[in-house]
Amino acid sequence: MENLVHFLLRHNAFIVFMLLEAFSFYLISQNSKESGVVLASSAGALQGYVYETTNSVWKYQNLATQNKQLIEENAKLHEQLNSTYFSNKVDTMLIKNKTLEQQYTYTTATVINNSINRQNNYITIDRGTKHGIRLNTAVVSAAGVVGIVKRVSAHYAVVMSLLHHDTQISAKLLRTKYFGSVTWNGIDPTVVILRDISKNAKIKLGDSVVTSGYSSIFPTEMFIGRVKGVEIESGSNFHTVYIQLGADLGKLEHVFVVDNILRKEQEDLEKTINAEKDE
Amino acid sequence: MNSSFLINNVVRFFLLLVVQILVLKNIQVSTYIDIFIYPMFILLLPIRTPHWLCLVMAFLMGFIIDGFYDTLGLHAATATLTAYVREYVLRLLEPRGGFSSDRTPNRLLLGSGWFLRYAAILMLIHLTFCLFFETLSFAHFHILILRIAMSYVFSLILVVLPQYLFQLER
Repeated sequence: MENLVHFLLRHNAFIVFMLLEAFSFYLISQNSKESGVVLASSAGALQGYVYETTNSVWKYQNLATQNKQLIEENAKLHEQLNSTYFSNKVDTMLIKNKTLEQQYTYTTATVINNSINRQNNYITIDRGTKHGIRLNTAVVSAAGVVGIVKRVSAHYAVVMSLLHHDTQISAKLLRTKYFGSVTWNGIDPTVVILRDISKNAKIKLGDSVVTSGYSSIFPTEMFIGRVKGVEIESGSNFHTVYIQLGADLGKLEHVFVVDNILRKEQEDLEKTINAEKDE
Repeated sequence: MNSSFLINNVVRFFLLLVVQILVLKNIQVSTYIDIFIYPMFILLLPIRTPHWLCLVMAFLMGFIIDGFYDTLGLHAATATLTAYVREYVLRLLEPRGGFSSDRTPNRLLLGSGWFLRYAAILMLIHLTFCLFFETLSFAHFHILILRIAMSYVFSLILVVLPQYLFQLER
């Protein structure tokens, strides 16, 4: 038996080749899944450690701690904002005293690994399940939307950046309320594209583009960027809007992970509708 | 294969990983340029290394790169392919009378022109495969071609340059 294995290995590199390729493509197919292999992503303990160590070499230690304090303070302030709360106010006659209920939590995190020049970019942050980070939560910086958490390990999380071919975020033009979805075309890391905006919409350069709040991931009206250019392809009924990103994704240091406490409730409710439709 | 050969290759394996992950990964000048030096490890494996061993080593290298690039399976698949093709490129470029030794196929042993051709073929295969499978689409074909071309030129320069800077193995 051992001889047979040896023989196969020695003379049939093709078999080894096919096996390794098959395994690789199996791995590729797993990468887009949420339950993918965390250890083999940059949320893995080794990768996180390497990135964290080398990252600290690059930045000014004192500057970093000061920055962090400011960011933490900012997060506290964010939580006090009205938009953080889910309004339970239905009828003042009926509601006794609690009209505001917290809907979003903000957790600060430091970026330890980042890329912007590939076709599918990821960001690794130094917060994981231990710090309450969950899958499919929003990641934003003070300057705008950054991405969505796609992998979580105990101490780290990998964020699918806006600069990723699978990223699609529901967004709207703040002034005119027209909504569409934001994607990236893989060319300029400072520009994303807003599609599906009706041809009738009047768009001005410099208009703010914010999250629509229709998905259960992002809070309403989080800043994404400003309109940089508009195109209508011939024969299309929709604008293609180019957006200058608010956040400079190449220089991210501190971000917030925004978790929607009521997400499950919203999704479960929406699921029941779909289930009824199917019947 | 004697022990200094083994050590050379092991050192090269880790050195290239470090350069790729800690240096090249952080060079983000443009979405069109993605520089890869790690295939040099596959290129410089000794000529008579068993084919299956090349495949396994290349897969391992690609798999580690994937772990740091968040591209599960992509570089593993690419590196394995490059290692598989290498055997045939070596046969294609075999000088008359065969390779004179079982050493590393480098510039000093086989000449500048030979090494350049060898690296050019394998790096082209590597980058084309890798950058195509990164998105798996022909949606922006001209961009893909440009990305491959730019990344190819810079990667090839980086893989060939050390041949002129270092003369470790004769």
